[in-house]
Amino acid sequence: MLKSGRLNFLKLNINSRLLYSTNPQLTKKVIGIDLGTTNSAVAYIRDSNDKKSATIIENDEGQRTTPSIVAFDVKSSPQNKDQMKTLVGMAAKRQNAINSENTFFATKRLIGRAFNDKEVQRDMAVMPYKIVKCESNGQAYLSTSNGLIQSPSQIASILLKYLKQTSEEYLGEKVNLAVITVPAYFNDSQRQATKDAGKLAGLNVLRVINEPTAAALSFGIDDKRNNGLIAVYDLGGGTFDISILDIEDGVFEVRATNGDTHLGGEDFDNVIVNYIIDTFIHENPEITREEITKNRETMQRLKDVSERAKIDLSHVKKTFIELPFVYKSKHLRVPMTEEELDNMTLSLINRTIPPVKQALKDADIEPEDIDEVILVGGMTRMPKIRSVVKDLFGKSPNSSVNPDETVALGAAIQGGILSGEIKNVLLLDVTPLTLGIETFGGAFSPLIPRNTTVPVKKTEIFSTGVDGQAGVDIKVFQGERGLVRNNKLIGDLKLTGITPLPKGIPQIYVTFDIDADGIINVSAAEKSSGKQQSITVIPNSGLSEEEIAKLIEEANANRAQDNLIRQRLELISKADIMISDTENLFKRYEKLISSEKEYSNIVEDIKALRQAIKNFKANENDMSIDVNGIKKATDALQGRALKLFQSATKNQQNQGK
Amino acid sequence: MNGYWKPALVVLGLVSLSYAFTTIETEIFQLQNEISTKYGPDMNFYKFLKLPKLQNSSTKEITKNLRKLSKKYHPDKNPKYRKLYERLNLATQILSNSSNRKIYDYYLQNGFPNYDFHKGGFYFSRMKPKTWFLLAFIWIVVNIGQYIISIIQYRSQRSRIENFISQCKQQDDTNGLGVKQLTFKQHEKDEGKSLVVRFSDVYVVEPDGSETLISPDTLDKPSVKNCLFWRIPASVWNMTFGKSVGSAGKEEIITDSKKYDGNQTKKGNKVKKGSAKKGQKKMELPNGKVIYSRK
Repeated sequence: MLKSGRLNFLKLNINSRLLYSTNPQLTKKVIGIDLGTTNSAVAYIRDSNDKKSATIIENDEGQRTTPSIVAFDVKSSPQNKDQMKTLVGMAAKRQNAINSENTFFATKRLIGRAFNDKEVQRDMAVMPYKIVKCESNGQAYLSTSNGLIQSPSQIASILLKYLKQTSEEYLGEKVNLAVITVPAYFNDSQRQATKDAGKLAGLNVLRVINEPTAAALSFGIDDKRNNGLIAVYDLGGGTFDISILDIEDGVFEVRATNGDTHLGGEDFDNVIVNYIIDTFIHENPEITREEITKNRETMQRLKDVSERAKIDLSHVKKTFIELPFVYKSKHLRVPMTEEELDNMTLSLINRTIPPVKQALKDADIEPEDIDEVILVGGMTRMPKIRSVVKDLFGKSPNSSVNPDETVALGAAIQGGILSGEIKNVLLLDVTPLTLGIETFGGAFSPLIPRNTTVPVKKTEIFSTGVDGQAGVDIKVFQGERGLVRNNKLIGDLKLTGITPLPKGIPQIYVTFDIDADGIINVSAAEKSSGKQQSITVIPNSGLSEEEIAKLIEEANANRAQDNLIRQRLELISKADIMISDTENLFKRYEKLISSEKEYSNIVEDIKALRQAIKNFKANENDMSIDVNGIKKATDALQGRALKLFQSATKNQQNQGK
Repeated sequence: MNGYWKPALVVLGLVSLSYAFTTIETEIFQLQNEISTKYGPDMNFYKFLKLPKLQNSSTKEITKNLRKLSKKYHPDKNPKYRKLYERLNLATQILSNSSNRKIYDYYLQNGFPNYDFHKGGFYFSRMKPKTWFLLAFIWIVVNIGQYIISIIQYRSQRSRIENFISQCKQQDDTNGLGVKQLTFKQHEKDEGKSLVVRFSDVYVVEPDGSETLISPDTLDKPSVKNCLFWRIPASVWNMTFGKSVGSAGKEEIITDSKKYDGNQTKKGNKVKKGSAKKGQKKMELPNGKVIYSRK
């Protein structure tokens, strides 16, 4: 497997060089990506000499964060579903209401999870898109309405590819190194799947770091506050994390981390949606709840308006939720106060308290020992949450940190540490979950406890229980429960080929290795007669190594075609702009030029070109359309229009004489 | 004799238990073995971590020290230090846990076991410091076992003697009301010993004419003191010699008893044959021996 990995790497490298032959010097710039459940952001280190110069990269719409949404335009390619047009970010979000079954959001909840996972089963009931089971590995996959099936990693890779492209345009150079953040409570499968997504997007993911850790890096990088204990309270769109860090002379050490992978802003939105539906039904008794909940368009509109109300109530005490034509020509106008929202969502807010107390306990710290509390994630703008945090720690949280951007900035800083751009700063992260193996009766036997600093390696010695036994079966689990069935199965190590010996004599050294990304490798070696036999466990994540290699090859093969399509799109866009300009000029000076001989001919040509451009946009993948011809015709037309104007000007001057 | 295996099994079990190291001990041995192999026999965790106060460092100092070392040796700073950092991390974890640190300090002071594949892993090249306590415990167990076995033997011997007496009384035709002379022969050619059944008691007539009572009460009862006394080294030889003599004596009785039991079925025929002779009463014992009445 290791050899296969190396060959794959070499192949990828060669292809990369060939493709970017015009820019042979690959950049060493590392971007930090905050791949959030609802919003994502990208950052980089602007000035190597200034470790505080981490900066957010704006996307092509000038926004500093991008919605984590990917949509497929099923009408763009009815015959070949593998070449459907994809929309990312705000463009995808805008068309969600009319294409909800093909618009994938919050896929971070599914990444690296098995289909039978109870969280996946719960999401199936509420998500407008379809979640299916991958038959080969039992993972949760996504399906468009026309049957295209993608893994959550592939969906995430489309988003990451967009972010990569945005960064390259912003920086003016190629980008292929990245640090990606994940929730602290992600297990091995989820981390591996996130890394796979980066790989599919053409990024070399140097590190996967925890979101609250990244936030602390961003906050503590300032020399004025690089000592003390920091608590990071991270309540984003989909997950909640709490981490306790100890900062001392540039070394950031995570003391404890805890959280809830299924608690976030969307849960708050759902509470508001339910409230609105209750109010609406109360005002319109003839409408039933089921009628509304089954209507996806209505539900999507209600979610959007709930989110806006939630955001408004972070700034004002009272707001009105207004929505015309909600259902059957009925209108909605519901007043809501900050206090009402607080009462509605108090149970959700209280769910964040036990993880905080557990983290403090794990770190062996009292709340008053914390020097600073940092709030991360859009949900922490809610005043009620800030007051709860204040009560928990006995001090007001630090409000100088931007909750939406600080994670990406921290990821960029970690990238700078890894690339050597930033000196004298080091991050020591910990494992969020306990690693152990199954022992007799299905009991969970811990080997590496949670909050152990990574990278860490532990070796356990096993032996045979039967004379002449030739193999051992070791199941590796991750979690905190006492029985393995309540924990997550990471991998199944089957070691065979043990030299037949009386029982108890063979010594099988099984090494459990958690790397700095929090990803687990398990290898085994039998040391009989000094020989070493090593087997590496393939992590039980969504995609196997072969599948990743195949997908990368497909991406590379399609890269040239994608570039070609992109060029064609650019040409047509320019032609479109030129035709529009010409049309506008003709309209403005119609009286002046309508008497010229060429006028009627040019107008007809303009209409023909407009039709050709329209035809191209409807059939972007049709390679038979002569894009260059359209561009040349447009250029010629512009020349003719110019001559027409010159001629008209002369005639006017002559008439003046 | 089979009873002696039980203490042996117990001893084996105890020995086995005493040499099965715990997981944390094995981990400590492995890491110590690795750094000793790489840096020399004098290396230990405290030196390996470059602790200024070595073994006098507090837990907090050890934890802070890892942070300081991380600035230089963390793989994020230099990938070639990956293995080194893993060892530093593990050593710090062991010393940061007070109970694990005590284990480490104990072996650091008393010596670590060596590693040998063919001996099943880590083993001690010299006696383990706790061995004396272990040996004492084994000794106690052995003596308790011996005590139990001696009780069993006592009961067995007693029942054999009682059986012999019972068979002699069967030949007493006075029904315990008079004196009956008997002759006990090992075989036909044996001159035989004289036995007297007087008022239901059986006596052996010695060559000098004196009589010795045969009774199970003459056996020594087993007691704990006998076992404990055995522990005195100076008495070991004597006790063994004495026990051997006693055992030899008892073996004769045991042999006799077996012979009696083995010939029960021949009793009827020989009695008839004896009664044919005139002038002298002849009685056949169950084991084939003949007792003649004296006139």
